[in-house]
Amino acid sequence: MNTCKEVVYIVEDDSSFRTSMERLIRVSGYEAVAFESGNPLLAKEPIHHPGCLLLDVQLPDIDGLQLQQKLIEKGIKLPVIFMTGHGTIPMSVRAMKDGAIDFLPKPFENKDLLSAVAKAIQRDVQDVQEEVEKDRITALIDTLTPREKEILRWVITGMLNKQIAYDLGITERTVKAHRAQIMQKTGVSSVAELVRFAEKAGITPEQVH
Amino acid sequence: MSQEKDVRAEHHKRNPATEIREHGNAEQKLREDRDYLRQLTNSLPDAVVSVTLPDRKIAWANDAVKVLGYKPEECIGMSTRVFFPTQEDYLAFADKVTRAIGEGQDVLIAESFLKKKSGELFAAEVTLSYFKVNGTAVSETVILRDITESQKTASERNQLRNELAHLSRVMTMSELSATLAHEINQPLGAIQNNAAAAKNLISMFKEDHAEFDEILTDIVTDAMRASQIIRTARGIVRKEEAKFEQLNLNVLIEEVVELYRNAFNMENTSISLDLHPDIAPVKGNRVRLQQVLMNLVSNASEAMRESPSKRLRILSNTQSTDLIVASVSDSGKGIDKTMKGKIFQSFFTTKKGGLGVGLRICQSIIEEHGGRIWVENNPAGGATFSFSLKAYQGGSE
Repeated sequence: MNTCKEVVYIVEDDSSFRTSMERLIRVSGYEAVAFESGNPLLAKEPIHHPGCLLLDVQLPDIDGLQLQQKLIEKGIKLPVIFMTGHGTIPMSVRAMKDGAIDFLPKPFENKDLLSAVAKAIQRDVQDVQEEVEKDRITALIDTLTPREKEILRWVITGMLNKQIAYDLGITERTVKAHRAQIMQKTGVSSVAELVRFAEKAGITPEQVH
Repeated sequence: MSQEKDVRAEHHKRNPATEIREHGNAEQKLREDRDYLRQLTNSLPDAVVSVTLPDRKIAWANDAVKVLGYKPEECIGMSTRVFFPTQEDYLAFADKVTRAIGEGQDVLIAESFLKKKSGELFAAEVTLSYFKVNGTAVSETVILRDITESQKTASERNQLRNELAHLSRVMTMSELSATLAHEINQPLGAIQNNAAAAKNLISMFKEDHAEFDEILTDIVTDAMRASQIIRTARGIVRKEEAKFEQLNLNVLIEEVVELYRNAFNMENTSISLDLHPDIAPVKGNRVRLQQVLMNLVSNASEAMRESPSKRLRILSNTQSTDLIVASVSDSGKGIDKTMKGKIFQSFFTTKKGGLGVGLRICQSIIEEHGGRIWVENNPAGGATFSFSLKAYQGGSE
């Protein structure tokens, strides 16, 4: 499966329905990878991106909603589209709350399927981009010294060098020097940019009382 | 009274003066016995009347005839006809009595509508016993018991039973159609997908493929039409909206056990209830939850049909502050490991002639209540089916 094509994973226990899904996905220009139950998918590493998951709600080994939950727990971020033979409203509400892209009652029309898949793949592309950006930022932040990381948390509160120096009991010049280092290492040019940057890496501002 | 006087007069005639003292004692004893008997009959809640035969005139009545609106003394000399709503009722009853006597019965118990002095009718159980002299019934003692209350209870029980039976049919229909819809939608979906895939492939051919395209479009359209028919049919039997209220699970359990009490007795099943007295109320639909309990109890009882010892145990408890659990345990064979996963699936059954929807219905009812149902085998044999329900949360919803 060494391909740059988008991959649509399919988990469906009914074999003839599964085969038909594989065909339809393939002729629609995607790579199709199908499983007849949930656990083999959970065991599958790595998951190809960009991609998405077409998941049957009723599976023999694990219920589709539980599988969705397990994927989240495993840190596998893959947009999910549910397929169901008798979906109930509360069930679909729960699935959507947990981040499902769509809920397709079987049988569905080709165009509904393809628009859901396109939406899911687009979401995955975004997710992957965000992930890459987050990794890049985290790597940059890792080049900071512990002291610089500490100062970073003060800087993103929006406080002036003078105030930070006073609170930390150091000179304003030292703060200024650290700040310059942070800006240089992370490659940002303004505090506003630095705030967005820190936010993406999950760094919270210092709690100032 | 007059009879007593006669007896006394006879005594006086026959006995010399020397025996008077002795007789005085005997008389005293007789009076005491009579008072005691009167007290005894007057303390009964049921009306008791003594009737002479064959004229069926009342010779004596206890205080409790007031339940019919009469004073004991006004009854004396009256025909028992007055207790019956119509002449026909009276004759029919008299006929029954005559037949019973003819067959040599000493006691006859029958139910009939009787009429109070006010004209009001009530359901009564009438017990007759005969006094015979040389094989001929000369008088009868009649006990009249008002059974309005117990009949009401019985009819309420019947009503509950009917309601449950009806629901069972409705649920079975709805579950059947849901399952069928699921089973049919699966191949219909595959047909549609395959036709769509074929349409897609064919569009890549250079040759004219208009007719192929038409064929495939028709296949898709017809598959859609078939699934639409199923959806409509499902809509028709869709279960009506259930009313949810605050319920005490223990009360539901007790009511269901009451329904099965006779069956248990007949099958020699011992039943023990271990109900936690302080469980929080749940929010649910009474009839549907009872349906679940009935299904579990009836399954348990069937599972024990061949067992030498039949013990059914129903338990209720608090699992955590907001979770109530009820379990039904039997002493049957337990559940085969290979079947454990399938047991809640539609059309899965181990019973001859079973439809395989009972537990599936239980599961959908419990899920509809936001709860969970599961099964475990008991260490000492048999199986335990349990379900958990959320405690009622005030009026928040």
